[in-house]
Amino acid sequence: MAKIDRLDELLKQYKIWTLKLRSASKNIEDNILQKDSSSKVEEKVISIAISSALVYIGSAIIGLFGVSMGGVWFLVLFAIGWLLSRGINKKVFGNERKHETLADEERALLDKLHALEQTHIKIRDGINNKTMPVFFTAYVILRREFNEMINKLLAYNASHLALKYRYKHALLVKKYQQQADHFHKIYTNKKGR
Amino acid sequence: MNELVEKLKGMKNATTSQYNEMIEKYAHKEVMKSLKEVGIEKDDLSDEEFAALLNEEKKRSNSYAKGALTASGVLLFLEFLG
Repeated sequence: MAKIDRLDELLKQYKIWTLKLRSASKNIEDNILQKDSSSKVEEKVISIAISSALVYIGSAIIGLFGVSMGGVWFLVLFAIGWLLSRGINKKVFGNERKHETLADEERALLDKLHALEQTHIKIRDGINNKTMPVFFTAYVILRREFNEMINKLLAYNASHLALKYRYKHALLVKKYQQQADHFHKIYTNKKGR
Repeated sequence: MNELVEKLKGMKNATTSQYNEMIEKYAHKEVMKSLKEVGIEKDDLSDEEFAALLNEEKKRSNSYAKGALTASGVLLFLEFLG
């Protein structure tokens, strides 16, 4: 009885894990596509910070010569700061990339990512529909698929991405790797180690 | 997600806590939908497990809503930062 309860618990964990796998895969895909809605907020914060800093520094420098700045000059400096920040934002956040514009290797990488996710969705559906009485029999293959996927993700050259996404890639791969380890943990628990 | 953004857009003169409440409600609905999709009942999960899923979804929804609303210029994004 305890073994059945344990198995039920592991199956539950596996099903929840499929959601986490999907989330980890989507985060990697969105990062490669430079798709992050929070960037819009970050861009505006940076723009305001740069523009305000320019107004502050500009008025301080001009103030050294005993000249006081009027409202028009504040606006001019703010506008210059805003334009400067747009250039910086482009470098840091870039633009969203369309799937069609990706290189062949990138498309292949995303296809593999989707395929791996689909494999586990099929297993999960098999469990739910009771059409898969033996679970994780293909563990060795599944584990190998994860290892291959992680190696491909680690080898992915992110240097052409905007700065934010370039540095985020390594972090997201690490999170994906954690999900692969979680899968391994579910399996080893099932084996009663 | 677009459904959430549309709802938030429709909340004229709402306070930050009202926006947060709407985001929380949406996140709860999304978690329940995900659980249904994977074939799990809420009662099968412990409070901690459910809270972890809800928290993750709330973060995701909040981040998306902030970006979408800022882009559409409906809300002052600084309000959200507070």
